Amino acid sequence: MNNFVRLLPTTIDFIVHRSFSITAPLYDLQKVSRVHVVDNSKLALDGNVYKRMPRIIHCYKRNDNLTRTRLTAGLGDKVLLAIKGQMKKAIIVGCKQRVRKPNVPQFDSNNVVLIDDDGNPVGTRILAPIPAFFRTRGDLAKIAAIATAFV
Amino acid sequence: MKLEICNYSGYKIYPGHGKRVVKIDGKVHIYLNSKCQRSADMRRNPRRVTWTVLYRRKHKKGAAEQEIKKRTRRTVKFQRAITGATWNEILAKRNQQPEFRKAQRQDAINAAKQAKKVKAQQKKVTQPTAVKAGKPVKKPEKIQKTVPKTGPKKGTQR
Repeated sequence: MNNFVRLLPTTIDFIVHRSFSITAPLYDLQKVSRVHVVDNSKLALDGNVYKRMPRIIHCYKRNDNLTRTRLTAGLGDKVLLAIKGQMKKAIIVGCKQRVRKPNVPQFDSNNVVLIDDDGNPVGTRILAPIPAFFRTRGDLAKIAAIATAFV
Repeated sequence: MKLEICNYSGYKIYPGHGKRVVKIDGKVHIYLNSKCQRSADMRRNPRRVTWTVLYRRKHKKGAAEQEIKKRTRRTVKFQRAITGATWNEILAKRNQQPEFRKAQRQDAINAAKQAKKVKAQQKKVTQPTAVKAGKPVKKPEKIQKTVPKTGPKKGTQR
């Protein structure tokens, strides 16, 4: 789809003297973004199989540049999910968006770990690799504690 | 600084280069650049892509020099003494002629036989009534018979 769209400006350029810019896919995590829960908690296992994929309905990130509707979340940010008809807080543990920082990997799926209001993870194990900087950040230490593999 | 190796091309990745991607199954791939990443995404097998290390290894390109290097390595036999014998003693033993050994063996046999003879005579003196199975031994008191007192025959006692 993207390749086709990229061809458009060149082919119709001589017809219509106007080109429009096309950005690469952004992969930002924001409201309505579908997400994959990587816990071993019951809600996570049910939620991944439910008729609707778990979605982000709110990002708790302080971002003064963006408007409220355009709040985006990245690795390590807290979000509110809608899973199986319930609302549950979660932390983003893997991001498809490429982060241009050293030693931060890019994931092939947007992974998320469920937490309760105190910040304690709901499950007992995390089934996917987790970025290594989770170990050094104090607020993410509880998630790093139940992780099985680091990247 | 740890030097990574590109999963696709096999090249070294210096710090500041490369990209790390975590697949859905949890496997981590490290790519040197977007050329490698895109080839991998296109599912091109690195063993068929000419410029990768995997291809060169499979088709044995440029491996001739390595083979020559391997051939010159050989184990060196080292002769040395042991705590029981010096090197000269070991050499002397090794270089003995077979005739010499045979003569030694014969001497040893003779010496052993002599020793046995002596032992048997001693036994005869201390136990005159002892009777060997099947061989009547004359008692020294009954010297009425003029039977020569023969010693034990050579070869009977083993």
